[in-house]
Amino acid sequence: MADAKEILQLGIEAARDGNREEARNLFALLTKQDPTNIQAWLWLAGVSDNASQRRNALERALQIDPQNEMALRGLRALSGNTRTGGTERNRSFIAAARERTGALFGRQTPPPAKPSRVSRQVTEVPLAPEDELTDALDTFDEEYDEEPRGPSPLMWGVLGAIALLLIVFLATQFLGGSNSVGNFVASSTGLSDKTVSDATAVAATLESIATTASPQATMTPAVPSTPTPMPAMLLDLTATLTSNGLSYGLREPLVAGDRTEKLSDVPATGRYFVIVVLVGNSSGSDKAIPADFFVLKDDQGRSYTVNVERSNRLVDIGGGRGVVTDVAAGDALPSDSTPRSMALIFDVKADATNLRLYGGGNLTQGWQIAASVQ
Amino acid sequence: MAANAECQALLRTANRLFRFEDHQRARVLLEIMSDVYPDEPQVWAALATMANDDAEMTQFLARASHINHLSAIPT
Repeated sequence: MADAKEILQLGIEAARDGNREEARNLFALLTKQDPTNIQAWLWLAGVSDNASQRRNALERALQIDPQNEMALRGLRALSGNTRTGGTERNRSFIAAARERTGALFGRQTPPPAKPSRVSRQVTEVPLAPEDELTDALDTFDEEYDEEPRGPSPLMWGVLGAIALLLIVFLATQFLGGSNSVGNFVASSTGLSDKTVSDATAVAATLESIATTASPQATMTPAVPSTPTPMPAMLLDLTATLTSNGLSYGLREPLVAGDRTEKLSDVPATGRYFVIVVLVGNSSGSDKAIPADFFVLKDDQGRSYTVNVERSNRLVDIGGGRGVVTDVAAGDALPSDSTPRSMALIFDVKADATNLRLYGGGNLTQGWQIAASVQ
Repeated sequence: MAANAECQALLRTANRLFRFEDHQRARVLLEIMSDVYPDEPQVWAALATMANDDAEMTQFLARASHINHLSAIPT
């Protein structure tokens, strides 16, 4: 299955980069899609972070191939790691597993032995993925059965940076610094409102120190051709912001792309770019989102506002309200706090890069949407 | 909102691939995710961004919208 191989490779790259959690998720996905994908089970075992998960993955691999050398090798290493039953018990376990799975699949002939790892180390040949997997399976106890270790140097660096940020924040607060984004409340998965609010205040303070820009008023229209500094905070794609009773966020983490074909009755000056957002109104009165509420910015310093006519046209093409999106841009939103999806179309220059979306005049917090419109 | 953290993490991975122009692998990842998490509207909506044509995009978005509407029906 070619598709699965691409994702397997992606997982291997993540594991190589030290991103074990991402690798684990990718391998687990593959095992769910195809429970007979033995490579995925073996790699999942290789990046698992606890012994039971690892054992389970190796046993699943053995069910698929009772003679699989890597799975057997991993179980041997795992048994050595447990330090409770000794090698003999593990041999019994492996023999039992072999017998059990062998009976199921009727395989008796062991595979040829793999080359010694020692020879690889002597010749310093770059490790093939299989060899990396073998190493991962062999070194489980080194990674996970050590006594608890203290923070790594990197962790100390991060902690130091956080402490420095807090000091700067407290100093600026003490000296009378104002929070220019006080009207905005961010909520994001896993973060309390207070945490996000504090982080917002720090970001706003740093922004004001770095740029000495004038305070940002809410609902400020976009100013074309004014280079904008990178936002102090790029939001999690699931974050929601509020401004003047309007809540807004991305409809989905990844709803962005250019769709020009059916809008070609009015050609774009650059390229049409679609972003679907979720908007809710809890202001107490029905109102529409102002056309300049959402702003898309690029690294070339340009700002783009929503093309309301084209946005509405897309909804019409898609079958009307409630089909592709709940409402069209420019529709009045009832004040019932219900999030509704809305497609926004921007006419973006073809050479635009690093597109970020902002809302409500808040230029200190935005979502990174795409590297380009190509 | 996706039902579990694993799905959310995979969506972030797909998003990262998309932002770094690796559209091919982003699409493959999302296709596999749609097999494994067929009831997650975020996966279908994300797939819509990778659509090869408008018909496909509409199909993916309709699927996402359908799931969302179903989940909004009181039980």
